[in-house]
Amino acid sequence: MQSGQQLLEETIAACQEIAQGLGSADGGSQAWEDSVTEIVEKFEKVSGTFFFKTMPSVPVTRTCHRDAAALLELRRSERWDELGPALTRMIANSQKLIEKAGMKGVTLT
Amino acid sequence: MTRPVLVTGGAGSVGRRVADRLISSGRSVRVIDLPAMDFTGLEDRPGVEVVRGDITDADGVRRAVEGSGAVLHLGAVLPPNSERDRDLTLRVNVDGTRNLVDAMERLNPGGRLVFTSSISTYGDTSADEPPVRVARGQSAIDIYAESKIEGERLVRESSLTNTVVLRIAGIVVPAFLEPPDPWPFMEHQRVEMVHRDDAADALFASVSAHGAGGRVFNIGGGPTWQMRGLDYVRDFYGVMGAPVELATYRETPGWVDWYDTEESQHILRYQNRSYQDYLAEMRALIQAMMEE
Repeated sequence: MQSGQQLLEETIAACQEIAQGLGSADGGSQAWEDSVTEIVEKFEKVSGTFFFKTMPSVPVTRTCHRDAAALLELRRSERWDELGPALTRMIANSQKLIEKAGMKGVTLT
Repeated sequence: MTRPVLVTGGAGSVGRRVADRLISSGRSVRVIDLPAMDFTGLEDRPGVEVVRGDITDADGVRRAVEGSGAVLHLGAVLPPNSERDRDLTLRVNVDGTRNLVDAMERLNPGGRLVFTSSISTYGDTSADEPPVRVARGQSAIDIYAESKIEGERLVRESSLTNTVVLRIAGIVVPAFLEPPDPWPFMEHQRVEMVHRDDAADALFASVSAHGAGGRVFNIGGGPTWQMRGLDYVRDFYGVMGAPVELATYRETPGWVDWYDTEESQHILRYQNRSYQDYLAEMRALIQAMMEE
């Protein structure tokens, strides 16, 4: 089974490819490119956290991984009309993942 | 109507649970904590009075103590923050305690003061024969322990006649936690921690338990919590589903050990959660996170 960390790395790579030149592509949009770039930046910020090395990271990361793969497929096949809703879905799921990854605990003594 | 119990640091994880138990038992509670703390769930709750304040403010402490029946002193700068700013740690943990002791001497000299100290005050006990008993000498190896030893001295040398000192072991919180790096002990060092809710039960019982006044107690999880550092760490990473190879340990002994808690358990009856209970709780929590 892939770890949350591996899934996240693949998701980041997929998002980087999705964002590449999206603003200047026929049918693409600068707003979309900015959104995906922002997701990549946020993912990179949380990628080293303990959360991604644990089991609970796998289900939520897998959802984003699947979203990113679907989005990449739409980008490659230039199905621009479907890209907007898919992007909205991925942003929402990415936000959930980033919130979970930010969870921290404290050890009291 | 009994007078309220003042809980310093009452908006924190342990303080809230102690407040819950006090309210459930029919006591009213006055919680004092820093204004920046989250008081959600405490404000507007019947039986709870919230005071936004700072224990380093002597006048504010005096006002908070006035009219209270007992004081549970939990407010402190805790590790690892305590090790980053010695002045702040001593100001809060020592001067704050002095303010409370002074206020009680003036306003309620016979009232019970429960002071939360720490087993860290024993220092490195790894060469001793376990368990560590309360009669053992104290020797700080960090700023936090230094502040707690001084706090104990203030309580001991005060004119208060009804004090209880709890030297509490490392508190385990059943939640998804970032592990410390390094763990505050060596791989094969003896380790005994205590469940947060057991610590809260001990604090709650200390407010009114007969036979507790004038005593010093070790508060630990009990026999099921006595293990080696690597045993705890292996279970922790196992429950989280993370590779245990990520763990790092201290290179010199930390202030953890096995503790003699026979007397505290006899008087306070707080060891209600075994280590296995804690692991089951953690597994359920992780499972719920995976299903979200």
